[in-house]
Amino acid sequence: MMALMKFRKSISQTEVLRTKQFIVFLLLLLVVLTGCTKNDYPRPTKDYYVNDFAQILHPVTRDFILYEADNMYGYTEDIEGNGGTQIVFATFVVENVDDVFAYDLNALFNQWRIGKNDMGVLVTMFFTESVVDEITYLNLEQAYIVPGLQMESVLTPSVQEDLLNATLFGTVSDDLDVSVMYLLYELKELIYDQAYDLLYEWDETDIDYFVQERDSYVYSSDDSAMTSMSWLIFLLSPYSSFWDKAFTALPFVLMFLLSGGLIVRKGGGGRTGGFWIFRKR
Amino acid sequence: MKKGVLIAIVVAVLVIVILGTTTIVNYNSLVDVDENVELASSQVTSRLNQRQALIEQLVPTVVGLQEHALAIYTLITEAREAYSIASAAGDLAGMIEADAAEALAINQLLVVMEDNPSEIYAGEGFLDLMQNISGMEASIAYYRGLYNESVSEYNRDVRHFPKMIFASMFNFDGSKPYWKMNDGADEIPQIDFTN
Repeated sequence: MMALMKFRKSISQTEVLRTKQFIVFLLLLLVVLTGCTKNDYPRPTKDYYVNDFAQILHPVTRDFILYEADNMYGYTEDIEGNGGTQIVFATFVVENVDDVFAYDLNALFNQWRIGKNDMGVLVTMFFTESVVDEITYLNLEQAYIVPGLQMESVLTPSVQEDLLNATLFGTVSDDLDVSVMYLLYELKELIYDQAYDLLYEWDETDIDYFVQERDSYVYSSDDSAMTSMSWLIFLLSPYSSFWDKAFTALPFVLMFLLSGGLIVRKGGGGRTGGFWIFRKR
Repeated sequence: MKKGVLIAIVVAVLVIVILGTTTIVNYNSLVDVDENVELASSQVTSRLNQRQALIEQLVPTVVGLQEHALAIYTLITEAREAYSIASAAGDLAGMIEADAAEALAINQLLVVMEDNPSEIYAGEGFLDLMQNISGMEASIAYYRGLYNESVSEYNRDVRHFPKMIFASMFNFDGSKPYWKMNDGADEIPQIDFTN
């Protein structure tokens, strides 16, 4: 006890400061190490339901997908047992068709944790680039529907094939955005009917409305606007000291981690069982 | 109490605490990896059972297959029976072998089907079932991978020092078998599809 008392008395203010700095350093190290966690695939975008990495979809298509998918999740979220359907779209550009097979879509699905109660659906589209008269075109090469574990009975491989053949690879439309909308509506109808025994009605007027909205869309500079992160710029600037950076960043980093990052919409924790097939065009 | 005795007691308590903690941590860790293997194994067998059910649905649709496809189909049914026997007996090695044989035969049937779509179509629902079986094959392959990863982790743990001591102390299996797909593959005869 005496030794402890002596020890306590011997701690100087400098040592207290050093201890605090050490604790902050450890926290920062933890944050850095957490940030360095290896992910094989990109994180989903802040919109979650639309991950247009190929930048092929029209802004209105993205908005429609976001609205429809978010709406479906909200509507089904509280259904007991199999509620919480999330339909997530992702587009990728690959150099050639064979590169598609390098994508582990099961890993991507599980990493994004799509769907509550394993009721997720991941629709992936792969494009290759071709240049004609100095204009770059994207060609749809492959598309897959990866169902969550509990979605397998609804979206069997044969149903997946039929849906893709009827929409993205069918004659429904030469317009990719329209085909995507058909696929989305078909998926919603099927899932509402088969998984929840609910009637979901849509028809050509919904597609017409989409086309009308898209065709009247006026592009603005906000389409590509990034989220402002002024504190980050400050931290990265040479004008702040190390401890400025550390103390300023810490609350934000902790908030960021505790709130699940910048993503407002996020996955429901779903997993896939890999019940899908690599299709041939 | 003498100072030396006190030190001895403190040291003994510390040793007991350290040994106890180490034992608990290592034992729990071994239980975790063992459970992971069991879980992965049950996921594979669950998928294999689902494949069995799909194949049973396929049976009535494939009457009238041509000779070469029928030979493959016979292999599938034989492998299916072997799997059922192994499954009922809880014989994991037998299940792995039957699974490998079945997977190879199904893959051969898929190849024949793709090469001869007009000849192989045998009945209503056949193509849908084949697509679903193909999807199930992909899923089984996925779960086989997960199983092998968990087995790899388990086998490493029970061989690493000091966990090997605790594994031996608590009678954990020395190693668990991988789900090797080449097992039994040699038993599938090559079929000449040109006949």
